[in-house]
Parts: sequence; C-alpha cells; structure tokens
Amino acid sequence: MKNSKTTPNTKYSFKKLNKVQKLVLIVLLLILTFSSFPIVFILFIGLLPTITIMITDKQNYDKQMIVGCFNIAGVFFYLFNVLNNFSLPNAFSIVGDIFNLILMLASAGIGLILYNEVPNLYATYMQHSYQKQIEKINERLVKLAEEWGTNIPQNKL
Amino acid sequence: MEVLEEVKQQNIEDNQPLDSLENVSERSFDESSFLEDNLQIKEDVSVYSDNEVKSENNISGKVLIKERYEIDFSNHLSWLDNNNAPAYAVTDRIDATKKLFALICPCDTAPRLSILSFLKSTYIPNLMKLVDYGVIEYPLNKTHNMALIYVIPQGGKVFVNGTSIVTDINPELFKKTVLGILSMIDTLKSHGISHRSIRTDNLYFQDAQKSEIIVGDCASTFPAYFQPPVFETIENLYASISGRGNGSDKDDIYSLGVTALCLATGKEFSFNCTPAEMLYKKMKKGSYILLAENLKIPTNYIPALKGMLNDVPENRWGHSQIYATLEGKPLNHSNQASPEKPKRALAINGEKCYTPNEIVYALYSNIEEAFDMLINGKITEWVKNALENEKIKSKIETIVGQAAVGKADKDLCVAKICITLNPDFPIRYKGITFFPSGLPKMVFLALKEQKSLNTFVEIFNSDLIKLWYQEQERLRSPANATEFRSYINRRDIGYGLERIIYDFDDDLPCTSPLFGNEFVDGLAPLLRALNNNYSETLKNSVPYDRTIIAYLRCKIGKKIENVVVDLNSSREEIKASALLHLYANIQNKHGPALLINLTKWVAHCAHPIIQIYHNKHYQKFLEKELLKVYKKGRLIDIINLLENEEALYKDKVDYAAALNETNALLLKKNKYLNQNDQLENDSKEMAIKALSIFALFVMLASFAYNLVMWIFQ
Repeated sequence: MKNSKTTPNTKYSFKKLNKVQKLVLIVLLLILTFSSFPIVFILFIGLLPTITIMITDKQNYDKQMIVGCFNIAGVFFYLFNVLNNFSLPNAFSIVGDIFNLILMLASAGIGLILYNEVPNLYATYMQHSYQKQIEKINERLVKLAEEWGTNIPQNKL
Repeated sequence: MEVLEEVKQQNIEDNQPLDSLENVSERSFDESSFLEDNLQIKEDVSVYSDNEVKSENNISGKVLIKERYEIDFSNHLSWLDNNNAPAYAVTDRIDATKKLFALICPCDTAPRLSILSFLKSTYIPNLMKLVDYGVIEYPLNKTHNMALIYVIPQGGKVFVNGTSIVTDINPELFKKTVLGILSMIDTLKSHGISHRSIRTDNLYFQDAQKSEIIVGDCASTFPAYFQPPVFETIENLYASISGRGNGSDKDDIYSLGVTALCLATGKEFSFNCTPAEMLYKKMKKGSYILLAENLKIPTNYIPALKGMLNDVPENRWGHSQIYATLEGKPLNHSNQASPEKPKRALAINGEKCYTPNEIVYALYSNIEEAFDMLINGKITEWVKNALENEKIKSKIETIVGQAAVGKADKDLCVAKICITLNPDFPIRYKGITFFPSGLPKMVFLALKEQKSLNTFVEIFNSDLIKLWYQEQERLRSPANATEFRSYINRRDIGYGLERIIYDFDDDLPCTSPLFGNEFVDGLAPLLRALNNNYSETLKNSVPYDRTIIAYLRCKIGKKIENVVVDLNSSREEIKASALLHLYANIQNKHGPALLINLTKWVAHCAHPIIQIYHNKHYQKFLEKELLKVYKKGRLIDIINLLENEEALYKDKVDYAAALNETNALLLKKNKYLNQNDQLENDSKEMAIKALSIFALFVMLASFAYNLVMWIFQ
C-alpha cells in the first residue's frame, strides 16, 4: 500500500509546472487565442462535447480519445473553412448555422454511440462465437465417443 | 438288455415280426444279391457255432463303418460276446464272402486305442485277426462306442459250459496251441504289447475242422479287466481290477499256464471266490499246487505247466523252455525252482509270514502295526537276519530314518517299505492298490464317475511311482515321470491329474461332460463331439475344460504350449484367440471340414476378440459378419475375420488419431470454458482499442480530406 501511494502513475503523470512557467504558458495561450480567435472560437464551440467529457469523465481516456477524434473529424470541415476566410464574423456565421453546429456535435455523438455500443456488440458476438465453437467441439466429441466408445477420454467437462 | 426287451415288445405290439422287419430294412438298404450273401453268412455262422446261444433280444438298425462294414444290430451273436462287449454280425460290402463280427466296446471302460492300428495291420498266428475298427452310434445304449471288427472263428468256442467242445484235445493240438500262443505272446512283447485276456472263454477254433485254436479279443477293454481271478497272478490279484495295468508277457504266460491246464484236463475251473480269496489261496499253496491238485494231468505236460505257473515272475518259463519240455528235448538251463522260503518268520497281526509276498500282503493289511514295526526296527531286523540282503536293509533304514522325522505319513512309509521288500507287488496307498501303469485308468474311471481324486493327487505328489520304477529291473519309468509332481502342483489349465493320465497312458480316450455320450479317440473326433453336443444351454460356457486341453497338449505336444499358456491368461481376448487358433488348426489339419455348431459356439466365445478393436462401428460390423461366418462351419473363417492384420493396423492408426483429436478438442473446449469469464472484458477492451484506432483514422482522414480540399480551393 505504501508503495502504491508513493509510486506515481507514470502512464498519465505530468510534470507540474512552476508559477513562472504557468504564467508564460498562459501569456502565450492568450496571445495565441487573440491572434487566432476565429479558430479558437470554432474549436471551443465545436469541441464542447469533448471538453464536457474531459471534465465529467476525466479518467476515461479511451472515451475521450474516441469521442474527441470523431468530434475533431467533424470540426475539421469548418476549421479549414475559417482558414479561407479568417475573420471573426465568418466564425460566428459558421457557428451560427445550426446545420454546421449539428454536424460538429453529431460527429461527437457518433463517437459516443460507437464507444458505448461497439464493445458490447463485439463482446456479445465473441461470446456467441465461443459458444458455437464449444457446441461444434461437443458434437465432434459425441461422434468420436460413438465411434470409439470408452476407449477414448470421455467428454466430462 | 432292458432296452432290447422294449424294442422287441414294441415290434410285437406293432404286429410286425422281427424277421420281417429285418428283411424290410435289408431290402431297402441294398441289392437283393447282397441280401442273399448276407443270409448265407448268417446260415454259415449258425453252422459254425454249434454252441451258439441265439440272442433272444434283438434291436433293429444297421451301421456302416468306413463305408464298407455293415454292422447288423438285429443279429446279436452272443456266443462271440467278449470282455463285456456284445458281438453283432457284420457284412463286408466289398467282399461279402468274409465272415465278420463286431465287438461293441463297453462305455464304462475304454478300448486299448494304442494297439488297435498295430493289431489291424499285422497278422499274428493264434490271435483273432482285427480287420478294422471305428466309432459307431450304438442304438442299444444310444451312445457312441468303438466297434472292433474281427473275423468269425469258424470252429466256434473251445470251451462251452465249463468243458471243452472237443472232449479230447490231442497232444499235438495241445502242443501246437500252447507253443502258438507263446509265439503270439512273444510277437506282441516285441512290440511292447501284452495280451492280458488269455483265458478259456476267449479261445476259439479258427477253422471248421477244429485243428487250430486262437485267442480272441484283447483290445475292447482295459487289460485284464475281465480276467477271472484264477487266470491272474498273485500280484495282479492284489491290485484293483482297473489298476492291474498293462502287465507283461510274464502275466500272459501265467494266464496261458492256467488256460493250458484247462486244455489238458478238458475242463474249466469252477472257483467261486473273490480275487482276495484266490490271492490268499494262491499265496498259501502256490498257484500250481492249488490249481492242479486232484486233477489228472498228463505227465509230460506237468513241467511246462509248472514252469508257466511259477509264482515268481523271474522264474516263469518262456517259449524256449516250454518248447523244449513239450518236445521232450533237454533243457538248456536247469529248471529254476522257486527260491527257498526264509527260515525266519515275521509275525504280523498274529500270523507268521515268510515270503516277501506274504509279508507285503500282511503289512499292507495292517498299516498301523506295520508302521510300528518299522519304527521299532523289527522289519529291519528281519531283513538283516532272514533275507541277509544288505542293499535292502540300507534302503529300509533310509525309509525308517525319514519316517522318524516329523509327522510321517504311515501309508506312504509302509508303501515304500513294501516296494523295497517286493518290487513285483502292486503299490497300496490309502486303500488304492495299483500298478503304476494301471493308475491312469483308475483316475480315468474316477474322473468318469466323478469320484474324489485327492488320493490320486497324493500318490502323484509322492515319490512312490518313481521308487517303484527304480526297483524294477525290466521296466523303465515313463519319460516325463519326473514332471508328474510339477503337473500336479500346477493349477493351470492343461496340467493336473488330467495331463498326467493322458501323458502316462495312450489308451485312454478323452472324456469330458462337454462330449455327452460321444467317444473321443483323436483330434477330429474331439471337434466332432463338441460340434454334435452343442446346445443353446452351452452357449454361454466355453467349449473346453481342463481334461480337453490336457488331452490336446498330450496328443499334439509342445506345439501348443503357447496356446496352453494363453488359455491360462487372465485376459479374455487372449484366451478366446488361443482357443480359436487351437481348434482352427486342428480342423485344418485333421478335419472335420464342416463344424457349424462348434463354429457358432466358438464365435460366441470370440466376442472378447472383437473388443480388441477400438472402433465401435467396426465391432458391430464384425458381430454381424460373425453371424454369417459361422454358417460356413469353418473356424479359420472366424480367424480371418477377427484377426485381420490390415484391419487391426487401420484400427490402431485410426484410434491413435482419434485419441489425439479428442485430447486436442478437450483441451480447446477447456480453454474456451476457462476464458468465458474474462471473455466479455477482453472483448470490450479489444473493441475499444480497435475503435480508438478507427476514431484516430477517421480524424486523420477528415484532416487529410479537408486539407486537400483547402489546398485545391
């Protein structure tokens, strides 16, 4: 127990930044945000589902990954559109179009649905497949027992 | 006889006279010319036998032996009955002029099988010619019996109703007869055979002129089994009737001596006494004095008769001495008188005994006293003082030394002493008196009558037989006598008493409850008997027993030693296979060609062999095939079916493959079942990983697409 407390989680551990570093980072981010505000705005609005998951389900990296990837895939369509017309009104008009908004959020929804359903479906399929295999083995064992009787090991399992 | 009465009665009830029935059966059987010949023979027989007593009881039916000799059971020639064997007229289908008769050997004993082929193949003057022999179904007892076919002596019997038919046997005929029979005894001796049925009621005139006397059958029963006590030596009288053994030429000469005495006087002896009484009388008086007293015997016959009736076997005369005496020629060597009686007597049970015969007889009769005398040293003292024989004395001292250690078997000790004192006497052990060569026949009868065999086991387990043969000067013990004790101690099938009797005695037929009333005198008859005696009730038993296997081991020899070993295996399939091979080999080599019942029986017993195949479908196939195979009646077909090497190899290979496959499948199944609990989690984990990759790919694809679109815009 002592070890588990003292040993840091190396997989997802991040080096803590000191105050100066944080300040520099914030300053840089603020510069970046203000310099590319239309992009940041689209990203912020488009990636709201991913951001929500990152806040609500912090430890579920797989979920974040799948939903995030699908979400970003949906957002890419409008991100490149902003690059052609790099202006805030264009960003607002894109976000203001409900169709665009639905597409961006729906891509995250697809990711979420896939995350929730595909593993269950696959697990059910696998179980069914195993059952089929066992049945086939049993059938073959019965045939072998009929043909060879007690001379061969019996199917007692 | 009761059956005969019944048959006759039945014929009378049916208003069919026996003669007419007989004629009808004859007519239907063969051509009219043959019938005439047959009737002619019957007339001849009635002419030859003035003294013939017509049988009152006839049974109908005819049996053919070797497709040639036809035995007519309706024509009982009772004057030729001999050795408890009834005689019936026989017609030779090839040469109807031959006058033949058949003796039907009794079932309670057995014919002397080992000498039949010799007697058939050889002509010996003064011996009734055995023409042929074979096993027949005897309708009177509904049993299978050996039938011996002889030539009818044309002059009838020599002695009828106690007197000779020729009132005056002239000296020439007497001389010719005695010397002729002695030659016959010598001839038989040269082939290791003794006759053992020389007696007055077994003498016949060979020709109608009554110029030559012959001796009748000697092979229809055990040697000397039906010899009246008067014709037997002191030693033989002491033995049980079935334990008299094969005897020797000396015994035949003695019987001839008694017969010659009757021929010389023209009368048979009319002693109405038991063998024990006769033994006592002969021992006390001496044979010649007992038999010849008050008889008028021609003086020139007396030396020869005395010589033949000498009670000491070594001093009994042979052919040359008797020939010289009867021809009036001087003897080459002096007449060996009986040895002098020892002057000192040995008192046993209050009676003074002088000769070894008397002493042995008295010792055997008083076992307790004899044993006490042995321990007290009285016998040793008597041997030392009366016999003055150091060799015998030292042997007796050895036996006394052995008897003094531990708890001695009194009967065994007394028997050993008696063998040492008088080796010519039979052995007596716990009430059984026998010559070793007669012991197998005693065991045979005991087996047949299902009597206790414990005493016989004790005898073979002791060294009495070995000791007896060691004391004999002229006899050799059987080659495998040393193995008797090991045979007895082995409980395995193919050993035990049964093995000993068939090893020891070639005359004995195989007897087993599995044969029913069949007569088994060889390998083919054995299979035939099993085949004929098969019934559904026997289906679940095995077609062999200890006696049969012991018999086969003795008759076939070491070739089947492996089979005997396999028959003692604890594994049923090995036993069944061994039996199958044994019987199939016999059928191939000796026949019979068709054995449907036995094949069915063996097929039923062969089921364990089917079990050696692993494949159940093939087992069922074999079971079905077996049902077809046994109808062919050939045992080899079962072997070909069940022990097909190719099929066995294929089964073995397939079984190994099936075993491997089963193990692999079970392993796989086991793996699946063990994985079942983790399966859901693993599957989900795997799906999420795959989904993550897919999501990443979708994102990259979207990026690439939009990038390309952006560039080209």
